[in-house]
Amino acid sequence: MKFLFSKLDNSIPNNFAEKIINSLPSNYEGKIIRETSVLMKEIQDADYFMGYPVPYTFIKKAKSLKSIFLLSSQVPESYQQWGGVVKNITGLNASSVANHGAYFVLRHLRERNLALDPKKLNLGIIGHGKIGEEMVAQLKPIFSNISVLSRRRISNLKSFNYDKREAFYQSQDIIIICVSYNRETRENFKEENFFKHLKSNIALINIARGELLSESDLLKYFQNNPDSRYYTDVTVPEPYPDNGELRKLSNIFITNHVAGFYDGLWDEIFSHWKNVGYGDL
Amino acid sequence: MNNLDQLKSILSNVDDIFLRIPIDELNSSHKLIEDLGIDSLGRVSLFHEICFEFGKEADEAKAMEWQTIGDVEFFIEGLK
Repeated sequence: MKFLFSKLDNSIPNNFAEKIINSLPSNYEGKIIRETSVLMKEIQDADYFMGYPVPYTFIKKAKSLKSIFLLSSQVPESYQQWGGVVKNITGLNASSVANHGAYFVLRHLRERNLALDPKKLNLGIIGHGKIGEEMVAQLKPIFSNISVLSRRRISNLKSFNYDKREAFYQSQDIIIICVSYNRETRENFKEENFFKHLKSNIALINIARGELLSESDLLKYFQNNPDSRYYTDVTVPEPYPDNGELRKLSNIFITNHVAGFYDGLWDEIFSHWKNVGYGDL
Repeated sequence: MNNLDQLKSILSNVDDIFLRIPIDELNSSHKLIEDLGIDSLGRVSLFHEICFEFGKEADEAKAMEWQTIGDVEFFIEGLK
């Protein structure tokens, strides 16, 4: 049996990959893959795959694959058509991602010459999954007016359904995007559905996925609205190039997809995998 | 349908190859990395999607030589 650990990205520590490989049952041969072209060849006869999500084309090519364990909080929508077992680190780093969102918010409050008073600002959160929920919990002591845009009604919070999303966008001073990426959410953030309804001095925070917002829409909006701000931990591509167009705008602040990482994360992922993923070997 | 339109059609049907610009705006001079942000995973994925679409096998190393959309169009031409 063949176990493939995809380590195309340096953010996965070597010792974590080795710890996983060393813990495999004796009937498994474990391989750590560091190059994309090697991954495409090796995955074709692998039985188990672990790593960050790869394009679905790779999974389609893997004829023997039975189980996947993704080192990410979201399972790509395309994987839902696959017949095998897919597990992930679901919600394990939600608190860390929310901490990073809170950092962006606090940075924004102190960004201008005069500090902004959070009690006078409307803060909107798009999505109320684990990260959105945590975001509300962290910011509630600071902000008086927090609203959530969500498919379901949230008790004890001002919540907007998606059919009222324009009113939600128009009334917010700060918006934090906490939704997963899929066909529906991709449509929600197109220029005509989203940007044209925002305040001209909006602070937009993206701790979800870079793919949700197109670079051309971002450039157009933030060039035309110099009082607005965009804080993001996620981009397309990642890492975002030093000479990328977004970096040329002074009202855009980028961190390099670090929100989900915290001290002890890899130990927690290992324990989680032992509990929920190891049994699929 | 010309090669560029076939490429656009393939890209429209793949959910996880992300471009920095809308597919409709693609042209032959766009650079895969600098203009479109296609990383190495995306490039290998695109290579295999194209081969799958045409039902042909090809040497994956060719995908590593692609610099522009024009190069991908040339590759598609070779599969026909």
